[in-house]
Amino acid sequence: MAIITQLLVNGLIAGSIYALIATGFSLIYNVKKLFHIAHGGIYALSAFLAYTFIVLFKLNFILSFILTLIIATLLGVLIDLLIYKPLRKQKHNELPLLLASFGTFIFLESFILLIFGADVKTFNFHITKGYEFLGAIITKTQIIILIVAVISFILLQLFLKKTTLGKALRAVSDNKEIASTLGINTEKITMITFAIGSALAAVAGILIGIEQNLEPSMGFMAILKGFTAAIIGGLGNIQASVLGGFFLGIIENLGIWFLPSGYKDAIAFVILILFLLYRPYGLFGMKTREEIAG
Amino acid sequence: MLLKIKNLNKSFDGIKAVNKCNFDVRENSITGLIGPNGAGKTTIFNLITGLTSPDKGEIIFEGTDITNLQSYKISNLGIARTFQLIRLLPNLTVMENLLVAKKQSGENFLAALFKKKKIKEELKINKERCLEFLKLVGLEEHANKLAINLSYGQRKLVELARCLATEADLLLLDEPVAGVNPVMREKIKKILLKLKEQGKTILIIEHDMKFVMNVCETVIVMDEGQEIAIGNPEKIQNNSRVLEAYLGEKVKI
Amino acid sequence: MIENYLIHLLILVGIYSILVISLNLAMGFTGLLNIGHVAFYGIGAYTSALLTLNLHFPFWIAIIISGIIASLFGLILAAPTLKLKGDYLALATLGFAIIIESIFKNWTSLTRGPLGIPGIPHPSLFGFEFSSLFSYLILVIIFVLITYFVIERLVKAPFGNILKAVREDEMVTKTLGKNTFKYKTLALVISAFFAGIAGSLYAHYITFIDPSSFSVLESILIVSMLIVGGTASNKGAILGALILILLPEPLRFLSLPSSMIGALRQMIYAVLLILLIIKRPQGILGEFRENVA
Repeated sequence: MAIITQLLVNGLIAGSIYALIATGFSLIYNVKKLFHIAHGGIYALSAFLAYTFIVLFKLNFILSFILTLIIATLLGVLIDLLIYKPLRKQKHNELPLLLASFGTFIFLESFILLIFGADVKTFNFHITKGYEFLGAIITKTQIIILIVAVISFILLQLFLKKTTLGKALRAVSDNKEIASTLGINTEKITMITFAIGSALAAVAGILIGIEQNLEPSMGFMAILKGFTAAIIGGLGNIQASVLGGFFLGIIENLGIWFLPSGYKDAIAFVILILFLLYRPYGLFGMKTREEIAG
Repeated sequence: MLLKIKNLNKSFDGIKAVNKCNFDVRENSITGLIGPNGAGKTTIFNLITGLTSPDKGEIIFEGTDITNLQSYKISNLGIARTFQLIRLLPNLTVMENLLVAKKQSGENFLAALFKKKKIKEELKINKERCLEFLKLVGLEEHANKLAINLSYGQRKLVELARCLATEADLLLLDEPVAGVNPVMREKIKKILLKLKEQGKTILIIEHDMKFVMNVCETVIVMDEGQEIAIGNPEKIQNNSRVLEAYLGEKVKI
Repeated sequence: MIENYLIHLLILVGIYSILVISLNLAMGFTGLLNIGHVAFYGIGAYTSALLTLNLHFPFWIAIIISGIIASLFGLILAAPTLKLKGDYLALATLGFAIIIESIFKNWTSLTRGPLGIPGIPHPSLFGFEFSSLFSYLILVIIFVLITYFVIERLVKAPFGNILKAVREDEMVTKTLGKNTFKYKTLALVISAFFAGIAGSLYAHYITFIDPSSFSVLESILIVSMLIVGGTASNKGAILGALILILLPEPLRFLSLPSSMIGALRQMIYAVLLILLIIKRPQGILGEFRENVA
C-alpha cells in the first residue's frame, strides 16, 4: 500500500514537470500548428542557466529564477523569429518545420554539451527532510515543485480566460484568419505565445534542477514526454495537457512496479503510439480523427 | 441503369449534407447534376468514389453494391472522376500524371526488379496511349512539363485527360468548365459528345447552366441534400421548385 | 596512415549511403516521414551480430537474414501507423525508434544492454577474411552499388511513379485505382530491408555494437543527409552522406577534448540542416518540391 502511494507521489512530481512542458508545447501548437521540439532545448538550457546563476555566480534562488525566465523567454521568441518565421513565409508542409525544430533542438543540446561538458551538474541544495503522507515520503523540494507548477497553471488559466491578450490568443488558436480581420495582431500574439510557452519550459527546467541532477541530454526525453502528455490530453486543449502530464507521470511510475525500471521511458512511447493509433484526439481533444488519421 | 443511388444519407458534424437522396444514371448518357451551393453534389461524388462512406443507403454500379468499397477498388470497377479544385500531382510531369491512371505490370515491385524488358515495352505502349488522350485535349506538346508549370486552363484539360486515361466506363466530372474560356468550353463539349459516342457514361456537376442544358440529356437537380427534380433540360428549366431552390423564393410561372 | 583513415571514412560514407538511399525510397519518393529509420539499422546490426556470434551463421547468410528481419519490423511499424498523417506519422516512427532503442538497452540477456556486443567476426569468403580496410571498402562498395541499382530500378519503373503519386496526393492516387496502403507498406518494408543490410555491414566492420550507435540523434543525422543531398535523388543520397561525414572531419585537427569535438560536430550538423531547410529545402540534387499548401 505504501509503495503505491509512494509511486503515486513520485508520479505527481514527475507529472508536474511533464504538465509544464506539455502546456507550453500545446499552447504553441495551438497557435502555430507546429510541433516545437526545440522546446525541450529551452527546458534544458534553462536548467543549466539556473545552475550557472545559482552555483557558479552564487546568486540567490529567486534572482536566478527570474534571470533564467527572462533569458529563456527571449530565446523562445528569437527561435520563432529566426527560424520558424522564414519557413512560414515559404508555405511548407510539415516536414521542414519539424526538421528545423529538431535541428534547433540539437543545436541547443550541443551548445550545452560544449559549454558545460558531459558531466552531470547539480544545484547542490541541501537534502531536505521529508514529510510523511499516507505512507509515502514527500520532501520539501517536491512540495515546492508541486506548488510552483500549480501556481503556474492557475496563472496561465487566468491569463487565457480573463485578460484581453489571453482572449486574443485563444481567438488566434481557433481561427487565425478571422482573428486578424478582427484587428488582432497575429504576429504579436505569436511572439507572446512563444514567450509564455518558453517561460513554462523554463519553470520546468528550474524545478527539475532542484530535484534531480542535470545532464546535457535531459531535454530530449523531456520534450518527448511533454508532447506525449499533450497528445494524451488532446492537442488543442490546454487544460487537458495539464491532466495529460499528470496522467503520464503516474502511469510511468506505476508502470515500473511491473516492468524493469529501464523500460520506464519506453512506457511513455508505447502510450504515445497507442493514443496516436486509437485515440489520436487524446482524452479530451478537439481535433477530429480525420485530421490525424486519414 | 449503370448507377443507382438509393436512399443515400450523409452527415458531417451533425449537418446533413446528403438527405435521403435517390436517382439513377442511365448507361451511355450525359447526365447533369446541378443545384445551389451546398446542395450536396460533390458529397455525392465523394460517396460514389468511396472517399467517404454514407451513414445510410446504397450505391449500385453495374449491378454491384459499391457502397462501402475502398476507393481504389471502386476505381478499378470502372469509375473515374475529376475534382472541383484541380488535383494534379504537382511535381510530376503531365505524362507521369496520366501514367498513374494506367494499369501496368511494372507497378508490381517484383516485376519492376526482374522483368525490365517487358516493363519497358509496356511503358512505351502506355505512353503512346496517354499521348492520344493528350492529343484529344490538344496538349501533346506539354507531355514532359511539370504539372505545376501549366496554366489553369491547361491543368483543367490535363485533369480531364487523366480521367479519360483510366478508360473508365463512368466518368464523374466535377465542374469541368468552371473558369474556362468559351473556346475551351466548346472543345470540352465536343470531347464529351465524342466520349458518349464511344459508349461512356458521364455525370457532370456544373454551375454553367447553358453548358448543362446544351450537353446533358438528363438533368438531376439537388437542393439541401436531396434530389428535387429529374428530367430533360426543358422540363427542368420550367420547374418551379428548381427556380425556388436557386432563387430562394417562390416563383410564379 | 592517412590513407587508412580516408578508407575508414569512405567505408562509413558507404554504409550511410545505403541507409540514406533506403530512407529515400520511403521518405523522398513516397513521402513517408520516417524519422525513426535508425531502428531498422540497429535491428539489422544486432541480428547480424547475434546470428554470427551465437549461432555461427556465416556472414553472407546473416546479412540477408538481417535485412529480412529488419523488413519484418518495417511491416510491424507499417501496419498500424501508415494511416496517420504527416507530423503524426513522424512522431509515431520516432516513438518506434525509441522503443527499439529501449529494447536494445534493456533486454540484456539478448543484447547485453549498454555493455554492447564485442568480437563480431569479419566476413570471410572461401577462406579469405575481409579484415583489411581496403577489402572491407570493396565489400561495402559492392553493397552500395547493389542498393543503388535496385532502388533506381524500382523508382524508374511504374512502381516508382506510383510511389511519387502517393507522395504528391494520396487521395487522388486512390481514385486512380491504386491501393496506396499497399504501396506505402512496400516502400517502408523495402527501405527497412536495406537499412538492415547497412546495419549488418556496420556491425561486422566495427566488430562492436552498443545501443548508443542507434539513437534517435543518429536518425536525425540520416534524415539530414537526405535533406542535404536532395530528396528523391539516389545520387543525392550518396552526396549527402559524403558531405555530412566528411565535413566535420577538419574539426579533428583542433586540439579540443573529444566531447567538445563531438558537440561542435553536432552543432555543425544542426546549423547546416537548418540553413538548408530555409534556403534550399530540396537539397543539392533533389527534385524541386514546391508544396501546394
